[in-house]
Amino acid sequence: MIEKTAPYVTFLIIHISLVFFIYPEKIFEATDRAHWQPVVAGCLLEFTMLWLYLKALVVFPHADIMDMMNSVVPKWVTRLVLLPLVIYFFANIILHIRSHSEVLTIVLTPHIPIWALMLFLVISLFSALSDIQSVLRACFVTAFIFVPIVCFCVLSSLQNTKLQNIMPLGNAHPDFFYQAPFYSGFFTFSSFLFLGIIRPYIQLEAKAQKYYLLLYAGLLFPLTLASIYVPLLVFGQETASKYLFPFIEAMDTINLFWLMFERVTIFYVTATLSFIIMYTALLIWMTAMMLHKLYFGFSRRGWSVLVTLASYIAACFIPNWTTIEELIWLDTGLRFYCIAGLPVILSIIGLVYKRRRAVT
Amino acid sequence: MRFRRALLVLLPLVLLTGCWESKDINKRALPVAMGICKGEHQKYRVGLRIPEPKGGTMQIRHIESEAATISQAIESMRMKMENSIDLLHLKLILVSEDLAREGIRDIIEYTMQSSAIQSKTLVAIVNGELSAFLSAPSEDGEEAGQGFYDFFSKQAGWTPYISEATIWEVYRSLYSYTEDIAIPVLSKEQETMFRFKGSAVMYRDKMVNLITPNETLLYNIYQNKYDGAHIEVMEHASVVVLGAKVQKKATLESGGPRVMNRLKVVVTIEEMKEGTTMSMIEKELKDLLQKRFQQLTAKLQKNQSDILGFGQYFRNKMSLPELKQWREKTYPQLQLEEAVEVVIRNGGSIKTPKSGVDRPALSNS
Repeated sequence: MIEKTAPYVTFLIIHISLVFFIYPEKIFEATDRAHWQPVVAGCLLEFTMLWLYLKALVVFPHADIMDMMNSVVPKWVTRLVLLPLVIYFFANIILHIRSHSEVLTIVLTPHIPIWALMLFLVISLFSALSDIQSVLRACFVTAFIFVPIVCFCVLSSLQNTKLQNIMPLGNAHPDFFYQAPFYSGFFTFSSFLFLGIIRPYIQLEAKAQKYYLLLYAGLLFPLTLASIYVPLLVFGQETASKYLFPFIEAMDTINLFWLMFERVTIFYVTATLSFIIMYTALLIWMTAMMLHKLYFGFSRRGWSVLVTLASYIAACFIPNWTTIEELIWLDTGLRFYCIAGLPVILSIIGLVYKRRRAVT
Repeated sequence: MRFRRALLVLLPLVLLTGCWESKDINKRALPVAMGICKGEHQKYRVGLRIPEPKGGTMQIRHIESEAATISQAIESMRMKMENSIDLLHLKLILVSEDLAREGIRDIIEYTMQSSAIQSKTLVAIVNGELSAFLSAPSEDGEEAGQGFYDFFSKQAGWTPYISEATIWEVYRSLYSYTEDIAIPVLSKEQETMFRFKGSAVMYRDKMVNLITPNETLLYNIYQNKYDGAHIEVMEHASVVVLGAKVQKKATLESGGPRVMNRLKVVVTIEEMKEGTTMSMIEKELKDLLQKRFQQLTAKLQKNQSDILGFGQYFRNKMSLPELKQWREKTYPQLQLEEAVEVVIRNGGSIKTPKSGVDRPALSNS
């Protein structure tokens, strides 16, 4: 039971972990009206790419993307094509731990130094050292505990909404395409890539594919919209665009007299932090796996430790929030290659493989 | 292997202690209210009201400091306190009226930016000497300085005549193109902690007028904050208003912007003079509410302050540059109408005649 549902749950929580933090601010920077347009544009891209990716992955029943590529193209091509993905995963580990520990200092613990907060990486590493099944199971358990809390927080943040703030809904000239923050926001939309690396361990037949797509359209798309529209309905565009974390600010306004805790935000931040810990674990596992399989035969566990150490040290060198934002922006080319390029390349490889199989 | 496992089990002891720079609760001063007024020598005089338990009772400690900014004043208070000041449990921020008339942007920006102060802390304007509020001895029945908070709490002393404003709401109205806020104005009372005098009408960050508690009631109804019940006393009867809801319909035609409001009040009759009929009560209440509405909106339009939030209904009807000038250009010309529908749910324990005409005698039919 758990084995079967764990990948879906993992898919869900790693999306939730990202969507409420940096994404709303980026969208508020990208446009000042009709915020649904950039959200729909982003979600549509991810949905299409997810669909392509799943179609390509299912062609090879028991191979991850490394083996997939190897079976069609020479190994050096695989290495070249997948190198950006390794770098992207690695960069993501650094950015996640750094940005979330910064969030923690802003919301929860202003006095604890960043280097100490970033030690939560040790938990991720511990998880990544074991095999992928246990990582997925851990994701399941985390979700079981924390998803209800996140739901409660999101629902209760509707307390102070004013419906009129949603206006204006229309925008005849969508100029967000020319705005850099719109592209930085795609940070959120890359989480589906993990499916390709853990492919040999999960089910991906037609039914499973449908579940992933349904999960995305039915749950994650509304959540992405909520991440923008909750702060928008509470504060209105003029004020929401002033905040660094609009969604967290919106959550800070919740006032429930029957709740014995004063700030709901604390629960929310802790819950998403646990999701981030799991996502980072997955990222470490994947980066180590790819390095191990593609480049140097050094053991996967050894790579995990090395990757963790390297990302911890790199994250310590990031001095402030502005640098984090710059790095997220620098990442953009790499990100689009991974989100949009890889699924296309893999589909082509899938086609070639099918044709070859038909010939022989 | 066993050794490694033992290490793993022991690891959380080190990692999860959660005692980084911990400060014991008895070494912390937890102020419940902060007062800000103009200083004699510097820009701000900031005072804190700190309840301290002493021998089973609660004693109030009041400290003050003057500085050019609020954070600096707090910092200088820290220098004279033996305990560490923790603003996280601050419940109320009091701003003096003269400061509010000059503008409270700096204060609100500071409280919003500071992560030590919660954004749902209440804001009020006081008229009179601030230290009188902050140093007032704790009242009977007040728990840990909660009295300030209970006054505004819907679970305690709040009435529909009292407005309430939190930091984030005030901050929102600083930047919103189409909405302002009313902040409660308090004055010191001899017997109790304070008296609610009315609400300060804000124009962006400045207090421009004062409205009465009766007008504040209307503000609460229009902001959808009406809750509970209040009594309206009229010439011939007193009624208990059980519910009040308003529907607004905005139109923007060649005749200019217009908002049609439909106010529906549900009442029961509390007391009445002999010979009064339902229709008389309905009419009296209608006239009363309409008159109040007209007086209030005339005042507000003159002050260019849209605390009733009519501009919100034009957000989809005007472009953003037009909305930016809502307060100054469009709002003063806004035509407002109010239609009142009175539903008398029941007349209490005594029957009330429907209209002036007596019931026809049986023999006539």
